[in-house]
Amino acid sequence: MQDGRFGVNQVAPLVKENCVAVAINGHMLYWLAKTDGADGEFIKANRHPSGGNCFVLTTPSGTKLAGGNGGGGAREALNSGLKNWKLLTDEERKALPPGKEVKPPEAERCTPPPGGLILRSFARNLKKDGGELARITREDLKDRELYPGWAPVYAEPAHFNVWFTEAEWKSLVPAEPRKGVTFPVLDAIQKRLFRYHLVNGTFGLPGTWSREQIRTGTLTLTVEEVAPVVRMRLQGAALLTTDADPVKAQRGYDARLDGRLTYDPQKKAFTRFDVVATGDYWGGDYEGGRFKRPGRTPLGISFELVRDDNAIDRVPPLVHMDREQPYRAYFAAEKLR
Amino acid sequence: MDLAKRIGIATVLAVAGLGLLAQPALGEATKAPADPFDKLHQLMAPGPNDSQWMQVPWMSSSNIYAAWKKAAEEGKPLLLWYMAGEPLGTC
Repeated sequence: MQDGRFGVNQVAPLVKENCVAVAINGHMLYWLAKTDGADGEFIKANRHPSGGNCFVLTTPSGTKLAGGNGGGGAREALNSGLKNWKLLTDEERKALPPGKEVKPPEAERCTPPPGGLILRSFARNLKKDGGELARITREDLKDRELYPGWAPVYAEPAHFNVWFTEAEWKSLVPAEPRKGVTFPVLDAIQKRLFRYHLVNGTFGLPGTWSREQIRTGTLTLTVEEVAPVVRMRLQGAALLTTDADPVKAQRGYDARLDGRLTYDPQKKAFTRFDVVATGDYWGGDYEGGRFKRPGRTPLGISFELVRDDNAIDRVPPLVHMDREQPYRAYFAAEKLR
Repeated sequence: MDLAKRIGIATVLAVAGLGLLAQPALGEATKAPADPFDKLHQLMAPGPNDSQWMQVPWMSSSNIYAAWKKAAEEGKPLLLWYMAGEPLGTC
């Protein structure tokens, strides 16, 4: 990931004002291009020759206006493309592509489970400042020994989503809640959170922990209030390491979890699902341990209910969720490798 | 002049003007909560200058059809952001 999320941060206001923005997942691109419907034709006509991370400005009917690649690609596509857009007639701007909509079946696996619950998560590299956890600033990054090879974006939070099925999230609500009662969180949820979501995705594509790499892990809920809403405290810890001996482990996260959950029986829904994991992480990124900070350094990961129903809130938890094996493994993290 | 030719000329003009687009002010800082748990929770969230890409109302690649209909209705072009992974999530 480059500075400013491939340059999109720098042009976000311009995009918001002038465009309808579409994020094309690389895996969906592959499936879309294989369909013979209008979606596939549109995509094939609007590929940028560079491939990879790139941007294309196009008309609704699929006439490519401009493209750009890499960190400056968004600005390049916008600057050139918007000029070209202004040259079009009203009719050209509003024309739709011929043909019928054809969605590839793989899109289904990239759709949240029906009746399920979505949490959004932010993972952020932190520092200790006078014993307190604090955000890393751009000024801090000037110390290249503490932050080797870091781009400013590594000090920003990385965003991910968590999916629970309807049966899973309902398991968190006691049938007859009694104040003071503590019970374990469903194993499937515990293992999913530990394996897929207590990871450091701040440097780019995150890895996952295997079942064996969960050296210890517990997660419980305690009922603190039963009416008019059910308030619960989530508490737990997980030690996740690549070696059974944490001292020898190339990568690890020693996390403590704390959370506040509120279930509203009238709405039959959680109205609060705030969880924080904090602890020492080591090992850098998942492509050879780049950007590794000296020693063990704090990593914070927060979870909360999504606030909207937009594309960001519906992004699948895994980049390759379109494939059957990762999809099944995600929803059976306590059983499958 | 046909569409392709007009686009070609405009591209040359636009490249000459690269970098001239103004950057509007970024978002405002949120108020720090009093509860230590809330304070910790908020520490991980994007700050006022972080993750500006999240302020854009992105549409998903699993619904291209809706995106081009919206673009035609609003009279706007589509900006397609391609990534080997997921632009809005893991990359």
